Amino acid sequence: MGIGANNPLDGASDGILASRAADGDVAAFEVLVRRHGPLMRVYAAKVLGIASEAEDVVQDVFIQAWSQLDRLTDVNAVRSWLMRMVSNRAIERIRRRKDHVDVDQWDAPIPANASPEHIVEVNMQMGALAKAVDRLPEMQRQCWALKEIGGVPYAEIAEQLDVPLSTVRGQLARARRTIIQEMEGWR
Amino acid sequence: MTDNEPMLDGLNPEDLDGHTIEELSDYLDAGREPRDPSIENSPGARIALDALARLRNESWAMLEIEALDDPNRDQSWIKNVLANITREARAGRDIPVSHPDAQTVLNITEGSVRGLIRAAGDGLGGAIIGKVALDGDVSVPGAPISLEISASVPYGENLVALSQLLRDTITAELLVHTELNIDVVNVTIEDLHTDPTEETP
Amino acid sequence: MSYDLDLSRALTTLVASTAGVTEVYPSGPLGRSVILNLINLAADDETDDAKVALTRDGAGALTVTVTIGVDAAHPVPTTLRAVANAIRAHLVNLEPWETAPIIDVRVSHINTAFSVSG
Repeated sequence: MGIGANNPLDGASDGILASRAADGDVAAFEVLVRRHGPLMRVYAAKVLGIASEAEDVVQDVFIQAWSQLDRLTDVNAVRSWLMRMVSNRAIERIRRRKDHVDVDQWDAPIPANASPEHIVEVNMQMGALAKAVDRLPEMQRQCWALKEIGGVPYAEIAEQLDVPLSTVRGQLARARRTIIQEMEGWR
Repeated sequence: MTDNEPMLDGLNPEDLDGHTIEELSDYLDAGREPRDPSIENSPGARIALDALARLRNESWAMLEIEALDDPNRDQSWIKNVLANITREARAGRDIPVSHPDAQTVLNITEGSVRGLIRAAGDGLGGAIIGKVALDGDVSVPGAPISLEISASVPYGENLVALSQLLRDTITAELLVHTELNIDVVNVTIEDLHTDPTEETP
Repeated sequence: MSYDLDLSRALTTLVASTAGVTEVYPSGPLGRSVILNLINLAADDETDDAKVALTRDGAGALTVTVTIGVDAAHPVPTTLRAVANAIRAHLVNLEPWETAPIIDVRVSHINTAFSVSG
């Protein structure tokens, strides 16, 4: 992979790339995949807690996106459109998991020696945030990621996950407070 | 931990002049509009609001940094994506090419003509072609067709001259490779980009 | 069926060797819906070399369906006609057809050399 001069498409805006991809330009679509894929995958991992599932979700999203790109009305908003699809698919997976898992287990804190998939090595400050997020109990982490990163409205999270709105708000409040405390040594 | 346990961390309503963290978060989501004096005038609430805003910015930064991490993992899932997309999904309409024999049917797909137009326009004056649309009934030989093309060009280019060059080049290319009757070519300059060749050291 | 398979192979080879043709895509019974595996495009291990589709109507009249990629060095209509004419010539030499076969050729990709310099 070279620098921008080797492939002018690398420097093209999301809008131009999405327009070309909607017209069938696979090279432009590939640039979009490389540009947004990694962040989408990290987001999916924060919601789902498992890296391999996150990868599956993002692959599915791109395959779906290819066939629906010509229906995207605002080509400049392609990133948030892709992120929205990640949110939807991640939520689908959580719903399917819930069908098999005892609801009480969903709220349990992750043990201190969590699997390596949950912990990512990044620079110090962001590392502290990443670790704080990854250490949250599963439901808090999911609600936090969906709301804070995915921008999914409270009501939709509640409806999709079939829990009361007050529960979602409560989970989010606890998540934020835990993170703020860990990040800032609050009082 | 249950939802009902109070946390002793200075973030309870009594520390925030009666406001809850959820309220402050909603207020932040709304872009702090309309302005709420009871929040803006409360030192406790302001401190919490600032912390929430910082957290939001850092969350995106965290994601972006994590996304940069471990680039070698990217490759196989990208290949999987590309291996599963159908190019034919973009074939579009058939554009006929004439043949004296009635039993011979010749066509070029609209998708391949769009690709031809992109290739003809890409690079002219540093331009990158965006959307290409063929308006008109392309399946009727001789029907007037208008082209709607968007492009991104480098800052500083003479837009009028470049638009004309794009029009002329694309029209000439279509004359060689199709039998379309191109009536009008509309070029819309969508945005300006930095010419990548200028960035090489 | 083996007659058709051999004929399809022969026509595929004929089309692929026509000046201006860069690829011959499968034109299968499902129509022209093609899933292109971009990773394998460079590989030569094409086990299926009968890409030209041959279909017959109730009366036995033949339709030959071809989907191709072409280069931009030759005018696309020229390449299209060259392909159709080559197929027509090949069929005419094979047997006296009661009904002239229909030859249906479609270009689904035009390969251009991308020039980076502006």
